[in-house]
Order: sequence, then C-alpha cells, then structure tokens
Amino acid sequence: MITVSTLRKKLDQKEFSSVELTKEYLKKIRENENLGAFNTVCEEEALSAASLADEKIVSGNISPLTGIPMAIKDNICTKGIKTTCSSKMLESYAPPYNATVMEKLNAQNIVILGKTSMDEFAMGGSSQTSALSKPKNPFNTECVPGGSSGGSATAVSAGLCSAALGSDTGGSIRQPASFCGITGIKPTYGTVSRFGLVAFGSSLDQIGPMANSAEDCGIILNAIAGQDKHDRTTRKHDIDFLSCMGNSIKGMKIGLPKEFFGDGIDEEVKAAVLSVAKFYENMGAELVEVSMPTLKYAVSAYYLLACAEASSNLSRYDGVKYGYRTASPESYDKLIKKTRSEGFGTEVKRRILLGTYALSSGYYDAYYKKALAVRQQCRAEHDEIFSKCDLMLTPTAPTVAYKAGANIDDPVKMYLADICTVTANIAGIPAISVPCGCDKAGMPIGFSLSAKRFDDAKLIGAADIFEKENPHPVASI
Amino acid sequence: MISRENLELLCELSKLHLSEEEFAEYSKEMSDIISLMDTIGESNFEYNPIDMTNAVPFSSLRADEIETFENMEGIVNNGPQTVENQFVVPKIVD
Repeated sequence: MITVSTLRKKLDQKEFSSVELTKEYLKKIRENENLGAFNTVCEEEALSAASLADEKIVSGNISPLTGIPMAIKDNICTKGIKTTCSSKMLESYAPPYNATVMEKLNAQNIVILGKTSMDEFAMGGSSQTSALSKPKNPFNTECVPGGSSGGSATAVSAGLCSAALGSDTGGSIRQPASFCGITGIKPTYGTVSRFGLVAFGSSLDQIGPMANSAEDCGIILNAIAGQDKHDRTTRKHDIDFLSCMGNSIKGMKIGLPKEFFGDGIDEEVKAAVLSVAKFYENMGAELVEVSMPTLKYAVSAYYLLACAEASSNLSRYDGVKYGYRTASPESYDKLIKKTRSEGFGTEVKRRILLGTYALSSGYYDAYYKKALAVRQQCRAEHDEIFSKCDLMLTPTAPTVAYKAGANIDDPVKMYLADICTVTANIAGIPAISVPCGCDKAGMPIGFSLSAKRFDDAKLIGAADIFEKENPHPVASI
Repeated sequence: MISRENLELLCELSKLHLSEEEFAEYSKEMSDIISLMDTIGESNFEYNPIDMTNAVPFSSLRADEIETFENMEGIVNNGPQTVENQFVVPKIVD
C-alpha cells in the first residue's frame, strides 16, 4: 500500500498531479462502495482542493501534506461538510466552523476525500452502532473493521485514501487499526487540540492519524499537533514526531506487563505479539517483565468515567439549536425527550443511562469517585513502569476482527473487548498499534507500544524499526 | 436487576423516553452492565483529591476577549426551526 511519504516524492517529482491522484482515489471509493467506509464523499471539494494544491506544488510552496488525499472521521467538524457522528441526531449537520486539526491540515493544502463512518458518537468497538453507513473489514467483508474509527481504518486498509484521521477515547484508533492491518497512534493527551471534535469523554478523547506506516503517522502528527487557545488541555511543545526515526533500539528496555498476556487473549494473538518482543530483543532491546495490577478494574473505570462525561456532553442534543428534532412536540420537555429518544441509537442511550447512574446521588461515591481512584492508581502504575523501561509492549486487542453482528447484542462482552486499550486513555499516555502478521484465517493481528507522556516520537521510531522488516499485510480487494 | 423505579428515574434525569419494549430490554442490559461496573468496588484504592496527577492538565487561560463569530448563516442553517435568526421552540409559558 502506498504511503504518504512515497506520494510526497511522486507529487514533487511531477510523476502525477494531485488532481490525477485524487481522481484515482475517488474512482476507487466508487468501486468499493460496498465497503461502506464513507458517510460522505466530497468529490467536488476534493477536486477543487487538489487543483489548488497542484498550483502550490508548481510554485514550490510545498508542505509535507500538500496535495495528499485524506479521509476524516465523521466526528471531526469540517466547515460546510456534513459531520454526522454516524447518528440520526446529526445526519444533516454541516458545521459552521472547522476543527483546529482541519484548519491545520487545510493550511498544508490537503485534499479531503470524505467523512468516514464510525460507531455512533464514537461509542462502540465494531462500527456496527452506526446509524448510517456500516463499514466492513477489507480482509473479510463479513467481519467488522473494529471501532469506533472503523470507516477510517477500512478506507486506509482498502487503499481508498492515503491516510485518515480518527479519534480515540478508549482504543478507537488502535483497535480498528489492528483489525484492518494498518498503523494508528493515540497521541499523549494534550498533544492534539480537541476543538471541533464532537465530545464523547473529554478527559480521554484525542484525535490521531491512521496510516500505512508509522512514519506517515509522524508526518500527520507534525501537522496537527500543538497548543491551541481553543483547547486548554493542549500543551505547548516543540516535538518533532519524526525525530526518533532511524534511531537504534539497542539498549532500550521494553516492558511486557504479564496481565496483558493472560486468559482472554487469543493464543494466536499472544504468540504473534510475543514474536514481536523476540524481534526487538534480537535488535538489541532488553525485555523486562512488569505488572499492572489495576488492569482488572480498568474496563469498569473506563466505562464509568467515559459514560459519566458522555452523559453530560450529550445533554446538548435537545432539538433546539441544531441536529434532529422530533415532529410536533406537545411541550418543551417532550421536545427534548422525544428528540433524544428518537435521535440516539441503542448503544448511545445505554451509555447515557450508565453515565447518569454513575453520577447520580447515592451512587457517585461507589462508582464515579471509585473510578477516579482507579485512574489515579493506574497513572501511578504507568509512571512506575516507565521509570523502569522505555516502552511497553502489549496486544492491541484480545482477538482479531470478528463477524458482524457477533457482539452487538451483548454490551458486556463488547465492553470487555476494550481491555487492552483503555489504560492508555486512562493514564493519558501515547500508544501506537502496528500490524504483526495475520492469524490462520488471514485476519490481521496488531501489537501496541506505549510510552510515557510526550514520548510519542519514541513510539514512532520503534514502530518504524519493526515495519521496515515486517511489511503490513495487504487486503485483496 | 435494576428496578423499574430506578430506571424511570435514570430516564428522567437523562431526558430519555423508553417504550415498554425498550424498558424490558434496557432493564436486563443495564443490570448486566452494572454488575460489570460493580467489580470496581473490589478495589481498595481511595481517591485522593489533592493528588493532581489525576487531574486533566490545563494550560494557562487565554485572554478573556470577545471574538465575533462571523458565520451566523451557518449557525442558523443548522437550526431545526428558525425565524429571523432565532430558534423556535414550543410554547413554554401559557
């Protein structure tokens, strides 16, 4: 699969123009509509942006992403282009402003091919809770692409775009990246502005890249990261996310937390990830066994925190200012209740109810406050681990992609499947998922590397070392 | 199993209306989910409000200056029902 860095060279050498490249991607999107990757395809806007990018390239006014066709998850606000969150609630919503990440990408003259489907309001791990397009896994279209950034993963994996943006609240970039055989990074909390990202769990949400290589992730992060006056959680930093590319891994310590390799992790996944550990060891890294005892509480803590925040964040959908409104409401109260009941899907309602429960009088201490305590402990455990090692290696998901419909009626099973990813969000650390082969059925397996806060570049460097020797699996579409 | 009374209260607080069929479905599912959440009670960690490692790290505040949002049309166009740049809602006071 062609990378952004390769496309950059070819565009600069005038092997083809951005318009020609964009037309190719649009053709491929049309030919693969059955994959359901996109909620909206922006053909006209894309060709117009590509034409402008070509002018910039000819004039030599080139940024790393000038003329590069990308896809954007449908919960990132794009001015004048529908941003639906794959929900009936926002089916017709066209934001009057751009998310900060879009302003930054537009400043580099990228080409937006379209908005990718996802789990409704990013709530899910399969993209099957989407009320609009339901994306499929390019490696086996009977299987889910993961979620919630499933449309972005499908689009990158199937070659319908060069790279995409996703968002990650509990694994929503990394798990679909793993299921679809691509690379995806959740940056350190505070690296990328969340302004214009439709809020789910505000203390956990981060936007990040999904691409065909770790290097591409670094190129995109260099474009979108930085302090933003519209998001007070963003930190001032001058990280070059490509600064560790080419560095040796010799002497680095890689922690293997024993709890991530126990029961519940598929044997083929476990074997593949342990073979990655062996690879790094052979390259000169030292493997260290570490422990994360809070892991057994991580899923509960994550769902309590994320849903509590979601129940508050989603209270803005009342049918008054934007979004869906019920027909002929009898009163103001009924306008709000009926709008929300008709506009939200089953999983979103479940999570609003759970969050309300956790925050309600009589339950707050037992659930929400306890979850905060686990979060505190989880962060302390990560600090302890990263005082002993540079990186931590785990599976990205307990299994490979499963058949569509398999877990949709069992929310508990669905939530437990997030076990390998939620701790990075709880602790606010960066984590990257990289493909490491396929299982016997040909479905991709992913491994995760994480590091201490703001060591994102180190992850990209280490992932690049693995990718150089182990190419990504390719879907035969 | 979560009681009907409890679920009704949650729906009221969440501003959601559930049909009878949904009530039965959500009662069962919410009970299973809350059982999973109950595992957190087995942990013996205490929340320390003074320990700021748990807090979301905020950078400094921006200057409190009024900025005009130019795209009024974009806002109004997204309103489900608008009249003369105002949102219309059902009558609240008789």
